[in-house]
Amino acid sequence: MPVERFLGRMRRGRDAAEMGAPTGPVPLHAFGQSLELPARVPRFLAEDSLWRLGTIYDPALSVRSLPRDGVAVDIGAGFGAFALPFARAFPGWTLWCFEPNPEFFAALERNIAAMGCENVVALNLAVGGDEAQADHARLAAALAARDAAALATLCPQRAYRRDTSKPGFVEAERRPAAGALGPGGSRYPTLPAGALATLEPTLLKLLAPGMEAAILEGLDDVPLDHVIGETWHHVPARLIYDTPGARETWLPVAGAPARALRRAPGTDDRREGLDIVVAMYNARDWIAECVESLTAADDPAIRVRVVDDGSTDGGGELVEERFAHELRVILHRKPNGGCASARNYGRLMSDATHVAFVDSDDVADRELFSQLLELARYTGAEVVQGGFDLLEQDAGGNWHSRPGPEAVDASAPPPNEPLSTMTLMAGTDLMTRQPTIWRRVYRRDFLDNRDIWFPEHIRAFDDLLFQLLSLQHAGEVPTLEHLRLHYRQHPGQDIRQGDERGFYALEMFRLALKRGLQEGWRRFTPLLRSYVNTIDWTYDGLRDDLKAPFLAAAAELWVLMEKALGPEAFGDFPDTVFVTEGFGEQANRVRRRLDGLEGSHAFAWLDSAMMHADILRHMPPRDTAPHPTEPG
Amino acid sequence: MPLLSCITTTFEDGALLRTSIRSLQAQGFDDFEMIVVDDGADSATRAVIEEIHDPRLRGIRQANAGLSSARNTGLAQARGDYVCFLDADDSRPPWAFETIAGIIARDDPDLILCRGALGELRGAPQPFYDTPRFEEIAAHCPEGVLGPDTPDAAFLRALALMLEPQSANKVVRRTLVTGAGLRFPDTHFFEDIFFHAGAVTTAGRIAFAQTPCFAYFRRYGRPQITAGSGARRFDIVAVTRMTLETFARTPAFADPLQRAAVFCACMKLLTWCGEMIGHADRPHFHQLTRAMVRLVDPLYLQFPDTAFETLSVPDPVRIRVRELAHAC
Repeated sequence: MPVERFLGRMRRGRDAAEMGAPTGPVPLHAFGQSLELPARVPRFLAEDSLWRLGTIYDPALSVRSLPRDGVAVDIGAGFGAFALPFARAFPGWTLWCFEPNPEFFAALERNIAAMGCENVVALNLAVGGDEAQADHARLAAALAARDAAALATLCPQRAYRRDTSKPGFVEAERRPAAGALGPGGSRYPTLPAGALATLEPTLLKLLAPGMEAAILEGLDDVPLDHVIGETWHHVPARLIYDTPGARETWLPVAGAPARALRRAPGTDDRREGLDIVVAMYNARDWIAECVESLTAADDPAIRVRVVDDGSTDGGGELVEERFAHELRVILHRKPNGGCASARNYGRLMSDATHVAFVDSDDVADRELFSQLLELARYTGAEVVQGGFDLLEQDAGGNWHSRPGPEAVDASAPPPNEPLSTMTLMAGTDLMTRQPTIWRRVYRRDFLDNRDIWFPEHIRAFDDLLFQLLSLQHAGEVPTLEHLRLHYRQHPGQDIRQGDERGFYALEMFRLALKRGLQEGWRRFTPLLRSYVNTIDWTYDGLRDDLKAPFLAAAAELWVLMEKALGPEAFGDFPDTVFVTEGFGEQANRVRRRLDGLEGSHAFAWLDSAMMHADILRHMPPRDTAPHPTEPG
Repeated sequence: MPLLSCITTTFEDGALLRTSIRSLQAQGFDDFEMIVVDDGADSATRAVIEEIHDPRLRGIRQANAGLSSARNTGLAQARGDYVCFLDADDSRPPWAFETIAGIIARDDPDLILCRGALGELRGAPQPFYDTPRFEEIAAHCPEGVLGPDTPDAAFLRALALMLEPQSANKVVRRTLVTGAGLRFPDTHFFEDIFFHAGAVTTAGRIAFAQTPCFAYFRRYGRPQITAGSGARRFDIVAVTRMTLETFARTPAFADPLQRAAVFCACMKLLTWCGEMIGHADRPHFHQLTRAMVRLVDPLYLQFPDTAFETLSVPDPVRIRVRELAHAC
């Protein structure tokens, strides 16, 4: 839903009297039809319906290929702004309209008569969730017989409230058991949605504030192919994804422009769901807690693929035994090839539409991945993410969570609106921070399309390139900060050891630079910013004897970037942005050597052996070789 | 553990992969393993791998990381006393491994360099490009082994450095690979010269197989990685740089002839790539070459003019080297 139009609708700021004043005949254009509905309705209702028609229904049906005939159910039909152009455009379809408000229902009937649509059945009913006391057999019979009078008596009465500022807007009382009517409230006979099954509908148009989830629950065994509408409350995505029918869906959330429950027909045969790839190497002590945290939410859409990367501590056997009866945990074994290779291997084995990569010693909040998948299904985002904190051991050997350096104070949303605290973060902002790829869920088609993989030859920092590329292309990243991944800190953690592996960072940035040039990135500022942060941070932790060669290589890569990108890209980045002492001096040394050579993208291809940790590690130290001569 | 590990990497070779596998299965010598690294192969290629039922085959699957990284993966998985390489669409004559095993048993070398055969585009079978150099080596090294005590050792090493870098022509002792950290430059194509120079420089004993032990094919069947005209050719500049930087750290760097040999071997590849690269990229390629020469040790440009004659450096390479010496 375009934000401006949405806000325009909300901010029109006319008073209730004006919005309640009746319109003249309502002209509308949708589904290839142009028609004028004669019944006069309140201005708010007319404008609201036309907005929805133009913004939701017309585009949603324009991107689909509806068959020539079928049965549609229109819940919240109003005066027929959807129903009548639909009935005209699809004469082979039968359309069942439900509208509880007697005034609008009268308008609907008048419009149907005026348009002469014989494929429309209109009933003056609300539709709601299933009620235990309802007589389903008789309801189904009355529905099939189109017996409005019988339906009115058979349907349970339910309480609704009106919104005085939006005439025509009727919302189900969320706690009908209370029974009391609010000011201006009404009771309407409400058809349990399950009764609609007898009509064998394939398309559902849903506009029933407060009733959306209950209605879809009631239809959870009906093979619907199409669901369109607007929702005022969170509808669990499983009601669309784990239910029969193709359920191609477009259900924007009212008041939340970035969210819409959606499902598009798959262009490949991927399983709709999330595979969490856990790369495991000698993590027997941690893996059970990790996997248990990932399966705790009991979400059938989520599978855990543990990739045993040639462990020698029996971690594979432990997973095999402990999760033998847990079908959602799958163990893959491969010869040792490093973390990147194990993550890629898990992805290659995965058949899911979404993928996440979690380290074998980390722990996730129970609902983290379940809600991230939910968020992915509500945003279609290439990347969605949760929050994280650090898991640290105290002197007594107990593990505690501690907020990380970028901790955000996030409160939990109300349980029935789990995505309401979602924020959007710019991928290019996230790019400049330390890699936290394990708190994210990625669309598999996005990663494949952008050719984003973990570089298998890199044995540390492999997630840096993945982070840079995925966030460069991700656009805005929907975020739920209150659900966290707990990242375990070990005293002897990889990158902190200060050995040659620090040099992998240089290789990562050169690869990212090359990609940026080949892919024509518009801005390199986030990449450069990230480079500055990473170099300062890495240098600081390096072993003393490696500091000088690292500084020389890092400064040289900086100059190569300058040659490849041109000086304009470096406006905000004089050499002095580096905290690391002596950086500028080293950079100038390289600049002097390259003096007089014009810039070219080709400089991104001129890496040195010093930028490759695996070559560097085996290089004889300089002093055994003749001393290199500096040019004069 | 087998005597030999033969590493084949495959990406989108499809049925061509059968060329190498069949030639290995036809060997008259059995004590080897075939490591096939599926480097993000397409489904047609995967199907070929899956149809092979041979206990000597070990398949390793990885996401596409490029030829060099895939070969390094193979090196890390190899278990044989010696390792060698065979590209998916190349082959070995049936006597290859037997010949190699014989040399290993007789000479206990760290490295064997082999003659090869060439299947040309028009189908003509020929001796591989560097056969004249092998003949020259045979003339100066009749016993076929180069050790520390061999007369003319430095000259022979210089000749060995100038052999075609081609990966299939080498059989390397695995402890040398791990001990010296021999590997291919990850993410780069035109990778062979780096490995070749590293192996020749660090091997104590080098044996020469004067019998063809591999066949290299030029084909139209699909675009060959090294035959393209695109920016991928920039890789040779960085590979050259890394080769020269690494060599500059070895004692052999002090020898002007070996220094000239490494430099000319690289320049030969650079000259060839410079002639093949598309015109849009060509000025950038030359610019990059100049920058590279400025960044490596300036001693590389200082060697006696007689080195060109001694090493039989082809004329276009001599011209290119003189141009660069002038420009830098």
